[in-house]
Amino acid sequence: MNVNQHMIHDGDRTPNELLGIASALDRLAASDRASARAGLEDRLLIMTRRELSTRRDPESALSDRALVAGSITPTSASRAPAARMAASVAVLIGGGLLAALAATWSGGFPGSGSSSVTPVAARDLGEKLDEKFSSVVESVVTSDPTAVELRTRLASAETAVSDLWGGVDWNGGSEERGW
Amino acid sequence: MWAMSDPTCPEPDLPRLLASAAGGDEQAWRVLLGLYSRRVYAMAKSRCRKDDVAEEITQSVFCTVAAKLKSGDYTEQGRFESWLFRVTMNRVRDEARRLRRHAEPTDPSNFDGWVQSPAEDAAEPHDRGTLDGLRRAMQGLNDADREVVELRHHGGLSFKSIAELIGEPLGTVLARHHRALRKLKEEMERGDGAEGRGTDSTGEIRRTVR
Repeated sequence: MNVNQHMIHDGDRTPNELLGIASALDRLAASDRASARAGLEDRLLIMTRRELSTRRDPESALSDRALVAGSITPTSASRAPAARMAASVAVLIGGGLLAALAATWSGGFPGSGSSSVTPVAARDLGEKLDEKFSSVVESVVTSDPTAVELRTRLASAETAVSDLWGGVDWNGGSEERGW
Repeated sequence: MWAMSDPTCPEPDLPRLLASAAGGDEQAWRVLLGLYSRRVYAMAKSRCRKDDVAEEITQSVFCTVAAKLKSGDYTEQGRFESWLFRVTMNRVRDEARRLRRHAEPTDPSNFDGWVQSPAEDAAEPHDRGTLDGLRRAMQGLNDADREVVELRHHGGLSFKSIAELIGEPLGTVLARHHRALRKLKEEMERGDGAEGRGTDSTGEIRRTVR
């Protein structure tokens, strides 16, 4: 019995000729669920435990996530300086953008067509920036890049942030965010 | 004390479970993760194909859940599943957009060269072919139909939850699912000539082993 079978009668009126496809989709889904690296739940448990604990400084949060990803071990501590540097640069860029956002708060964003930036839009952008920089920093930490690679990745992060900047609905926030 | 959950069983008292999880009860988290983590992972894996990306999305989703539960931003009103998978869907969409932006041309000889999961490796050879074909066929669905299929089969959501999640009437969701399955079936049948797959009179997919 797989996870999907408990709700097969919840209004589903799949006709007989499509039951084969539905069953194949269930097998495909089971295969994807089974494909996770061993210990997925344990790693998630560590992450959620840390998330629930007192909020800590960004650097230790960064090293926690890297530890959970299995990328930094006590024997590879030499990676830490590069990670710290990358994190600092990313935070600086992110901080600069957030400062720019604050500056436009009352005057509107040039070219946005709106007279002011709503709190929802600002929060939305803040969340996206946070997400984007977390992923950049994590990718740097996990791969231990050279200085050239680091510069390339930061340039790519800047481009990604520009994309985000242009994609924000300045009047209301992202329509896809449900929370 | 929470019993370790069997994902095929009806959920335990979810409001109580979530309240305990918000308070940092580790056993409650184990149950929550047992119920939902692999379903979230499968949603991400289906779209992104890479194990590390799927795990990163899963981690991000559960960090959000933990943060929202802790801060009291989420109040359980019988819609936890819908909310959880909405967060998941948003993360998956973000990643899919990112992948599209950075897409590189694929060498046709490597086309569809996704990494097979251990479960697929272990599958019967004829079924492995079917699953490969199905993955290809899913790429031909539009995003809206594909999401319904993935929420239903990978996420294991009820149609009611899917309807709540995407804000469509239940009938529309059922119709969309039905239409998507029909498209997938047609696509699989189109591949018959080249690969020897087919469906029997009950729609069961078979493949001729050569």
